[in-house]
Amino acid sequence: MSADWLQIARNQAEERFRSLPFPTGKDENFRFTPLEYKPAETGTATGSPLPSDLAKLDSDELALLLLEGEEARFLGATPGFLFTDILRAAALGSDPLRSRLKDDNSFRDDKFAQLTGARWRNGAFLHVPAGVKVAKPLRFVTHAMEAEEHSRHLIVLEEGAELVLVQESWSDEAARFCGELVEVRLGRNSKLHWVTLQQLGRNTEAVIRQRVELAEGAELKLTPLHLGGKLVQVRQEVHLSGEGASLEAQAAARGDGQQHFDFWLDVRHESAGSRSQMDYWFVMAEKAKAVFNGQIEVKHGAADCESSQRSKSLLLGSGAVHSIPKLIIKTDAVKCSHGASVSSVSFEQLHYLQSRGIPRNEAEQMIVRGFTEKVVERLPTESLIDRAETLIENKAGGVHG
Amino acid sequence: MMGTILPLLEIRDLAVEVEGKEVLHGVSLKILPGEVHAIMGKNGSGKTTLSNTIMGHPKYKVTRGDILLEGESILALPPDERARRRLFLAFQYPVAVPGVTVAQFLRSAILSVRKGEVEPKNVRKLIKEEMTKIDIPDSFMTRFLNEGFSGGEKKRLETLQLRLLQPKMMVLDETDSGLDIDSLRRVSESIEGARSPQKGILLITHYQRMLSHVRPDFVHVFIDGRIVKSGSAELALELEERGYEWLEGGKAASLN
Repeated sequence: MSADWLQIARNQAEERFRSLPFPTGKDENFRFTPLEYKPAETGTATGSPLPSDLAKLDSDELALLLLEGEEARFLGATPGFLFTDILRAAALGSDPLRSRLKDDNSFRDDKFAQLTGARWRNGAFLHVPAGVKVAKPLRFVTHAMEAEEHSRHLIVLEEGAELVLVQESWSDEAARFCGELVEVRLGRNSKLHWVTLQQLGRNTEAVIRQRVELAEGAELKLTPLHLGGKLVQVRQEVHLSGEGASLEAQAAARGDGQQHFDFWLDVRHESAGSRSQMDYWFVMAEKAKAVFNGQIEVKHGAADCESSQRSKSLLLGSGAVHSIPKLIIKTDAVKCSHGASVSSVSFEQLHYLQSRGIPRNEAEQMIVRGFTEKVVERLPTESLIDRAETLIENKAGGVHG
Repeated sequence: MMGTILPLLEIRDLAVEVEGKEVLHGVSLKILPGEVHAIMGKNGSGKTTLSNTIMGHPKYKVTRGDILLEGESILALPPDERARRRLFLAFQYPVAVPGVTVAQFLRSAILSVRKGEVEPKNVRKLIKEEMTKIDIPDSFMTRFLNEGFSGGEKKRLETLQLRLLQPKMMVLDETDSGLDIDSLRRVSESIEGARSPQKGILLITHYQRMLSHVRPDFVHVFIDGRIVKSGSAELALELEERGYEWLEGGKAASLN
């Protein structure tokens, strides 16, 4: 099934994986995230069936791609563009796929990215030609079937294309390690709203690597919501390469128990007039921890850029939030701002709601829930909102928590 | 008790500490059903401490005295229970609660305070009717509570809550501050509309201007955490003319 060029690319990634050292606590980006990798024995933990609501094409959606290990199922129709699994796209000899995977230079320094680059079993491939505007959202679901499961996704929007893409990841309660490598390329003046609902099982560790490149005037709207997993590290590199490219993100993570989330962001303003605005919301209950490593870099010559990055955290238990902002500015005439706050439920907010008769418990839940509401309200379909709300309600510190 | 009218709100020799420092030094006040009282005082005189203490803010520690609502002490009650007993405080600075919509908040508040009286299915209609009466646009409903609201919008939302929760005893803390003339008129009309023989109102204000719209039965002057003088509505006019200085030196005895 696998083309020769694909096998060569995998072998190269495998070599790089073997030659790179494992990160240690001395590496800045792993200081608070003790990421360990032990190769899993294959065939040890076959995944439980995917919940039926995730596996069903919603009437508000155009198409759904279910990725379960190597297997892929497709529901719906995508006239005028290609949305399929990456193995099938390789077999079809898709040019954009071949050119991207053959000479993949991304995350060369990243041992985990190379591991996934070598061992991915399948993934989503989306190619939207120039000028195609897709009215209804597309969705793909990754379902981890093995004790170690890697997937590779490639999303390409050509000039002027527009799309809403939903990505959901799910695993059962068995111990699993998931690697994910995503590349997104946005052509001139294209627009992508990329929504992620991460609902991995309690014993899944996930290492996610995402690289996005935006050409002139391209717009990326990001809405990631992370609710599951044992330890989840997302390294995201956004290159605002073209003039006037823009990134707008509202992201949230809700943790409880011993969950650990690590967001490692690297936003690079490489052209004049590019914009980025990012809000990250964390609610950590019980012993859950979050790490926010936010770096903004404005390259030499990228004048008139505007960037703002904020992280706001609510700590409900004995966990912790580490926020590490970093600005690297190599040009004049830019507007950049950073902000980070960590608090518990505000006395003043609580008093205000209670003074209107709302009992303390209910008032607390309203405030906590409100913290992630700006992300939930951006989810594009009712069924996705229902799914997110149910998961949130079942979190400690949530409505039924 | 036969023949005596039970005060709606009675404050007895109230002393209050904030962060270990005494801010109120023995305040006494009785508000009977149908009465409108005004407390006037300069910034920092302890007016807001009084209103927050009445509502049960945990930051304010009562070290002496009592607060009674319809004859029962409410000191041990949390703020939500005080609200359910139909005590209402319109805040000077209502806080923003991002992520909680006005609609969601009002619904929870109405169903908590008017439990058994308003059916859940009728809440939406009730809110809509009251919003129409005071010209609040529908767009308020989906906005997050007080987030990005102008001063005037916040006060109008407080007024809407006052109408929806139908309290017996209302404490209005500087409800006139930051309002333009039109907003002041609208807010005052709502307060005047809430006036009834069964209800009590305590207006806390810095200036006389609101009192020309909502005429009080009694005016009390607050200086350094004490009521130093009480009188009729004319006292407010006198204060407007003469300022507070003439009362600051001698501690005049309360008439109440």
